[in-house]
Amino acid sequence: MPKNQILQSLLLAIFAFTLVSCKDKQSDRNIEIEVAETAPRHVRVLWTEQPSNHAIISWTTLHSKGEMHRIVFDTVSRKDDNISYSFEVKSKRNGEITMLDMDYEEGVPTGYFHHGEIKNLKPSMKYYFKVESDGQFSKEYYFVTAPADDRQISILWGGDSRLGGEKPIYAGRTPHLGRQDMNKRIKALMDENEEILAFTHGADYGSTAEWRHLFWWLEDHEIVVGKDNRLLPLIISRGNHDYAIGFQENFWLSTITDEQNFGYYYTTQLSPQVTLITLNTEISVAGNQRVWLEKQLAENRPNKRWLVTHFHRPAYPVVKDYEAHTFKRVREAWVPLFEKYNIDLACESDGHILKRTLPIRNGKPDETGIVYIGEGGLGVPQRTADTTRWFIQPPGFAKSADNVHLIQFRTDSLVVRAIGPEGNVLDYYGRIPRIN
Amino acid sequence: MCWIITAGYQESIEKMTKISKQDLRLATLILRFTILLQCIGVYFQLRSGSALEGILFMEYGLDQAAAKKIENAIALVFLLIGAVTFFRSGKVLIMIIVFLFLFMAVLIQRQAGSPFTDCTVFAHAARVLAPLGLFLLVKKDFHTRKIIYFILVLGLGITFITHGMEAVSLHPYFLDYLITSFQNLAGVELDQHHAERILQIIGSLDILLGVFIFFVRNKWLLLWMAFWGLVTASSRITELGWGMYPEVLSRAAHFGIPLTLIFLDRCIKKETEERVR
Repeated sequence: MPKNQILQSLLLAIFAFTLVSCKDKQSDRNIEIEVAETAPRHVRVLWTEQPSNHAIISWTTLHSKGEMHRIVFDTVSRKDDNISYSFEVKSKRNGEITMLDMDYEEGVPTGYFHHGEIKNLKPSMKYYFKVESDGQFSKEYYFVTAPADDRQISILWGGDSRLGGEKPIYAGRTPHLGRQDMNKRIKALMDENEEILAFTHGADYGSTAEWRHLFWWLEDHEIVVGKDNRLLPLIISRGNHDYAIGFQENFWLSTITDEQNFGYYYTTQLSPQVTLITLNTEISVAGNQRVWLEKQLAENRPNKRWLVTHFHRPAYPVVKDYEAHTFKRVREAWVPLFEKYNIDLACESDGHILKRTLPIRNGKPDETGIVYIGEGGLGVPQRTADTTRWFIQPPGFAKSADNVHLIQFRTDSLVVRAIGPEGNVLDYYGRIPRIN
Repeated sequence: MCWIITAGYQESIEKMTKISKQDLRLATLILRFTILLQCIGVYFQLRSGSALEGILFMEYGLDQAAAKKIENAIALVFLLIGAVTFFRSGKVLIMIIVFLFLFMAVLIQRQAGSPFTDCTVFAHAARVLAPLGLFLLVKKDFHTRKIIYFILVLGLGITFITHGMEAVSLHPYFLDYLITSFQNLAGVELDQHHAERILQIIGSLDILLGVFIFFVRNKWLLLWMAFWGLVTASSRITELGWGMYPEVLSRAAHFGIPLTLIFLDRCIKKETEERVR
């Protein structure tokens, strides 16, 4: 065979191999899932704009969609008495969770989503509830609504819980030990501290939002059930690994999902003095969202003691290229608004690291500037920071460590603690209010 | 008399052969330059972090520093091969670069994590097939040149159609290119609603052009595609400044291939005429 033909055949073989390797390598790893029951699972509470009087309750059923799905709830515990609950609402959304070939190949069971809304709740009240699917009830859980008074409150915030099992990591969607450890820590924190109201996720739940990833995220999230079956409401954001349709299916946010074209950006009024703005870096940052953001900041800043934003892609990355398009677009579109309206804190994810920047204004250190924390550590493998970057020089810092942030909104100060999987405090930051 | 006619005919054949050779040389030069620009662009993209490092570190558990070293090494390979290919026609080197461009597209698609990454291999068709065109252009025969023309049209067409579909589907980055570029270049506040309509028109035109190119051999169409390829690639710069230049360079095929096709088409037409005579 002539030399040229041999070379061309070889290259053709490499091409063919490359194309075939496009297929995910998980197909040979079938995970046995011992899940036969059709009872409700993955029960969760989601908060959107007015958590003092409104919540979304979502759950999953496996194998069968069922026909009748409802939520029963009350302000007192009814334990095993399913018929004594004072209130009930039917689920608003039910449907089959999209399954791809890879989901089947990995053996995750067919899933069905169910979402319901409970409205007209009273502030600072424990709400006990069960979900029912075709006569099968969940356990009784409870959550606490947000206050209508100016009391001290706290939230947990963290991002990036994809990957992190055994090597090769990609194959190890379960057991995801890092994520499970962080969930255990979140549970411990909520049990220790009743003023923690919610768990805010900075996105990238799994490598994709397809069912083989979200199924295991939801399974692991069942660790975060506190004493007496307390649930910590979730405040959801969307990241660059959450594009798939499974995200909308599993994290339905009522009108926010419907009217803002799956925008997933919204303002949560955690208390009369605490506003949390969730932004979405995966849609247009310079269009409607920017207009909306400016309006929210202008409305909230003059009369809210604490104004915090969180979003996935960082404006000030400490690992990835500072000049990369994905970060610069955030810096150009939103940071001028953060600075114009003097927000108190910006929480970022994506880099897989722990960081706190110097206060920044106009692209340089400034005592009056904005501090950016986070970059994501809910079990994801941690990277190494580029420690030469000006915005993490002391008193800023960066460190490779799994973490979740406890953010306390006090009347006289904002206190942020980064906490590791063992409960150790990795960072502490405090600031006084910008306005009286 | 007969001798005079024959001599004139001979002269015209020689003249045409000379012109067609010039066109071929120009087509080759443009394609080489396109590939060089692509390689420089990818070099800088890899140096600043890419899907490769992400997959090696995140999924295969490689030490981050080692993953970065591999990424830097591949960046250097791109740069070296791009430079060598500009001056020399090494078939093996060209095929390596084809493979590397395809490899990068597959990696990006596999890693996901950006809008429309499912379409990456199609969106990168032009940059993958540009070096393949050069690989075949080294062969001097007429029929191969026709194949090259088809390969380059295929790459260009698929890339235009894919980007067109992304635009029609309102790719969020494209929306921001429009909104911010209007603001930066013209001082015009373009609201998202209007940006979306403009983007859908642009996308539809791209799809039409991407289809037309398979059936119509027209210099003006190709010139428009070269111009539009340059404008859309440069939108990263008009949005976020000159620091985005690697993004433009890595898309050199979007404007380099249409220019190559103009000269290649002229060359093929003249050669066809010569053959008829």
